Amino acid sequence: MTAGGLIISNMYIDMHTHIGETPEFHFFDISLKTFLKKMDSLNISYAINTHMDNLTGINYIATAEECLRIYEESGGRVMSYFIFNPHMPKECIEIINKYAGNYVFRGIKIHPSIHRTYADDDLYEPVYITAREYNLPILTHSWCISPHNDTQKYSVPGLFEKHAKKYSDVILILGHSGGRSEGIREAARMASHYPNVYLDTSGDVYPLGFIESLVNEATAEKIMFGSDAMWICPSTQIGMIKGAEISQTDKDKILHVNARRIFGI
Amino acid sequence: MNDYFDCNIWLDADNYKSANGIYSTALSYTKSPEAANEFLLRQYEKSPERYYAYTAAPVMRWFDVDLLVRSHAACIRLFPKRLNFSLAGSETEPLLKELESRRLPVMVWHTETTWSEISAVCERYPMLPVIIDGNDKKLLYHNRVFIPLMLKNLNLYLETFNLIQYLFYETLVNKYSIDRFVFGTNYPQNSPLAPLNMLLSADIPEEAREKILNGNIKTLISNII
Repeated sequence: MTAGGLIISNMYIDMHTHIGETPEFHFFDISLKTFLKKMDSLNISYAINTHMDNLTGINYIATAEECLRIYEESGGRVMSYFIFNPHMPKECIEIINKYAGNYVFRGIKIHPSIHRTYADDDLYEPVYITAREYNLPILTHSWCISPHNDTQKYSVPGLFEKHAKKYSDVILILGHSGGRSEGIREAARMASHYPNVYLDTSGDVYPLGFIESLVNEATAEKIMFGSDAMWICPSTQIGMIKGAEISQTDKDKILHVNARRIFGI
Repeated sequence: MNDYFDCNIWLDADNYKSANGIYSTALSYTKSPEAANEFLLRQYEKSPERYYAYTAAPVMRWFDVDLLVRSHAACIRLFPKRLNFSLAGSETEPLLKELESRRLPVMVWHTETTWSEISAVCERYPMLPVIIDGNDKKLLYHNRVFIPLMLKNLNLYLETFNLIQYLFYETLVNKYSIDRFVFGTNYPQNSPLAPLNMLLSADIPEEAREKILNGNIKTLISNII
């Protein structure tokens, strides 16, 4: 499977983005045109999107069609994840069955906190079986126990261990690398221990030495650049990665090499 | 790369590449304002070229504004929650009046107060520059509040390490004509390249970028009486 559109080997790939909006704060500009302009200015060739409507709504058919439109309008530069809601497995799997194998959808997103279902619940079995069938990586939200947000308890990294172990041939990416302190340590441990577990840099976490510690624990092969745009500006993550005290080879792996391999771009 | 003046450096950062900046100490809230100020005064003796963020509270064993200004005070940090007072309460009035009379900026974590209190202080003390920064809680979900406040209160500034929203500078500078931001990194807790790259890559006029990186904070410091 190869991507459509232009491939520029030294440009970055942002594998954790969101097109659209959610109500909790004011999004300044949600247009695809502006997003592509920002990608250009930051040397980002491709982005992979979990559409906001897939997180806030359940009209998954319409959202899948919107992802197709975004792919076309972006000239193949903005791809998407399928969504898997453990409470609507049939509907979600049907969409995956319909569109898997085309260039638009590059993985499956799960979000235990939004769907309020612990990550080790058997309700997630169908997504791992389907991911294996189509050789699609799974990107999940992961975080640590938070005093500000009780729903993060559904997504702590250790809860993914059961499925990561059972489906060792399915790539599982712990988005946000576990979020904060204890979650980051646990996510890095899992990425170090399980060959199929990966990490991404997305989120609002920028501690000095963060990237270096992930590389030391999990190796650069296991880390990918993700931003969480359109919430967060990708320039912050790029700055942190480029400023990290790691080799240029490792920076390249994080910024684009690993994503090309994992997502077949 | 543009030169920059980092207004949010925490001491123990002696290996930081840029000495251009304002230095704070966690003693402000882990011990006492007096202990923090005594510590920073000793730092000033060692590094008089630097600027310092001293700390105040409504009642202190000693608080000598003249001495602090002579010792390169660039601003005064306030920690209302941790030091158990109210930013906009009557107990803080004498202190804020004194700081306003000196045009000595105050710097407050947004997690230490409320936006209502910040608004009240900005209105009551219009000549007092109020700089909002934060600690491990980004200014992401507050934009429906702080944008109107910045439009209304010309003495309200935001420090940059918390500003991570997609298209933040493009929107605030180009659409709302707000450029009252002061560059800060929260070094060494945070990677300075994150806020720096966001500002350097923003599609805004060079004049605004320079004000944010250097000009605004230097103007505030030069206005201190």
